[in-house]
Amino acid sequence: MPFLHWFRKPPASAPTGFEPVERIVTEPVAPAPVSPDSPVPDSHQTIAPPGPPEQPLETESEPVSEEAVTDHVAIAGSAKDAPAELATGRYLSVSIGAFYDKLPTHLRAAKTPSLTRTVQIAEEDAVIHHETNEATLPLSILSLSCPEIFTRPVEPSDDVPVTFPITAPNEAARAPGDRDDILDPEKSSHPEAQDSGTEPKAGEAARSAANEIKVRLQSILADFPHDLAPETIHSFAQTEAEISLPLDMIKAQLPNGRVAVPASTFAAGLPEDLKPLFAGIDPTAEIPIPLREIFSHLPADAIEIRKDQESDHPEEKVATPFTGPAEEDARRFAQPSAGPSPQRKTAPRKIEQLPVQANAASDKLQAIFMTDEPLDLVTTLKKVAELPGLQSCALTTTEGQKLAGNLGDPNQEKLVSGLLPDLFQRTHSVFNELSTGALEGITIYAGACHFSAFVRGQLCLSVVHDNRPFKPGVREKIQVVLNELEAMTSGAKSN
Amino acid sequence: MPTINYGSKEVQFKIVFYGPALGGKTSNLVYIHSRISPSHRGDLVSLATAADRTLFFDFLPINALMLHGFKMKFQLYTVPGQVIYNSTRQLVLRNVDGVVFVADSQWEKMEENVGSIRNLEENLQKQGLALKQIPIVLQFNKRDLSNVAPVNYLEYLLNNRKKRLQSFEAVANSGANVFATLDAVTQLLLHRFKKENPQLIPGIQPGW
Repeated sequence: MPFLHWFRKPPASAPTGFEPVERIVTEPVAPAPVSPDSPVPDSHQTIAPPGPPEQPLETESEPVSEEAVTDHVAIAGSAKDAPAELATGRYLSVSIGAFYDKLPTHLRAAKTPSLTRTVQIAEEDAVIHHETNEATLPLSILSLSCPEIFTRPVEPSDDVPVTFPITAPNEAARAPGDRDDILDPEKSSHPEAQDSGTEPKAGEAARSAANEIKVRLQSILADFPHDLAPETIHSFAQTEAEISLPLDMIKAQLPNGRVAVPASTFAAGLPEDLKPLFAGIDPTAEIPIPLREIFSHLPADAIEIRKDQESDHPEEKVATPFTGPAEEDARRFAQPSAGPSPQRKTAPRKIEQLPVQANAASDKLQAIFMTDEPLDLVTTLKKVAELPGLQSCALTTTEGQKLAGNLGDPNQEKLVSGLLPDLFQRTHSVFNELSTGALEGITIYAGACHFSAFVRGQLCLSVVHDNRPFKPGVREKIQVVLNELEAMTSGAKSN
Repeated sequence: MPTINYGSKEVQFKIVFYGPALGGKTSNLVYIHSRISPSHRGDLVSLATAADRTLFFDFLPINALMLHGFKMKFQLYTVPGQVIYNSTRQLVLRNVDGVVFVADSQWEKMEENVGSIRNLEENLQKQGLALKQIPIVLQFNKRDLSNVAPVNYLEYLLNNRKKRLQSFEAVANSGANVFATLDAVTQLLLHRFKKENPQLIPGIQPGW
């Protein structure tokens, strides 16, 4: 970055128009608000000694040499921040929480992002201050790495240096709070990863080639970010192609409960014939990889519980007021024991197949929509959404598992696709008792949106209206389509 | 620490059901409330929105008699799981004696589970407590659904600590393992209480 030179000059001799770095670095972090109702620890309780939040209670990590820190540093925020680490010698893997508080409030997007999510920043863009264990980089660099947390692009007049504390990588990879107590999965799985100061060996390329995981592209495309999806995504949504991803990158994220890869990594793993389709995506954007898909391909030993665990179960079992009901329930639910679930070390179980195959096609669907175009699940849903008076639609299972389509805002979609099938089924059971005939569909009128849901078998088709009731014939058409999809499901099952 | 009232001979424990939004914390309390005789429990106080989301907290007092003359009371609370209600969670966690962490087993909730247990750690830390210092039991809820993560992954996410917590697979809606979870955390509480107050209650023999 050409403008980085002013970071590297000593502050006293750096006559820039910007605020001195020291002032920003030493800016006190606002203490957590304390209300009159704030908890007052009982005098009998053990009070943790005051200290920096990121200070582990018990130190398990080895001291890190300055050389190691130079080549492999981690950026950490306060105790409330998510862990952050340097993924390789060339990129900093930084949790948003490490710098979120430092962003000018007028540039922050209205929606608070997940502070544990990490972004990749080229190491050459940051200036590492070894004396103070801090790193500084321009706000504009951050905005390029995670534009979604900004209200707008950072203009030159907004550009200020942002400084974070840096810590040793072993600490950074731990969970906050009880960091000392959490096993670093990366460290446990790959002891060589502790040797952060070593240069890549000659055989690393060959090793990394073998250290890949192949996942189905179809499953990734089902949850592909709407704003990144190429226009032609529907045309290959039913592809059987697989994508190769670096296993280490995936495994390192498994403790977070979410896995995403940079678009550049995603694109690099694509089959050659599909690479041009995704060429236009911002390489720093995140592509989520469904955990379910990962686990169906993950080696059995990829996740390991630490072996030095100590049980906290009391040896002597006493009868509590709840023991009786617990035993009754255990008998009622025909479970062998109401005791704790055993610690499983077997491979993750095989994932159930979707009830509807995304590439299933039907002549009847073509007839319904009066088209010769081959209609698979995705294109069928697209056709439904194009019916007059509808904005969008999605097909889910009655358990809320999404199969195709979308309802717009992902958060709204999650809630609605969880609620509507359940609501339909409850209403359906009540209507059965009332002898009013089978329930065909339900519509919910909210202030800003109208939703309808139809359930057949295990399938639920939810639609968002264009702020008005169904136009004549639309509801009937949706029902016919759903009947056909349900018939295809049954056919697929019987086959 | 439990509240001990020597005058009325009562020992009061506070158990908090913690976890991500829509994970089934309130369902746990609803089931417990439905199974305990009205003579041994109070009303379930629930402040929920129209969409059945816990707005503030749920509260269920349960009374049980101790043979040694002390009446044992359990106050069961849930916290609102939604991220924005952290102040309420901190308030509810005040002077907590035990925690049931209700995790949602669905694949798409894994990140929220991790976020919630980290939030629990942070909020306990603000009271000067570490996760390993108080009795905690994990409940992997919604095991009846088809899109659930395997238990070994949930253990890896939430229980990969030196101190291994007891964990239960549960279906709070139907009640499967709801009381088993509560029984486990109560056992931990009583053992701890007995250890810390040997002079008070020489032998714990609770009953209704």
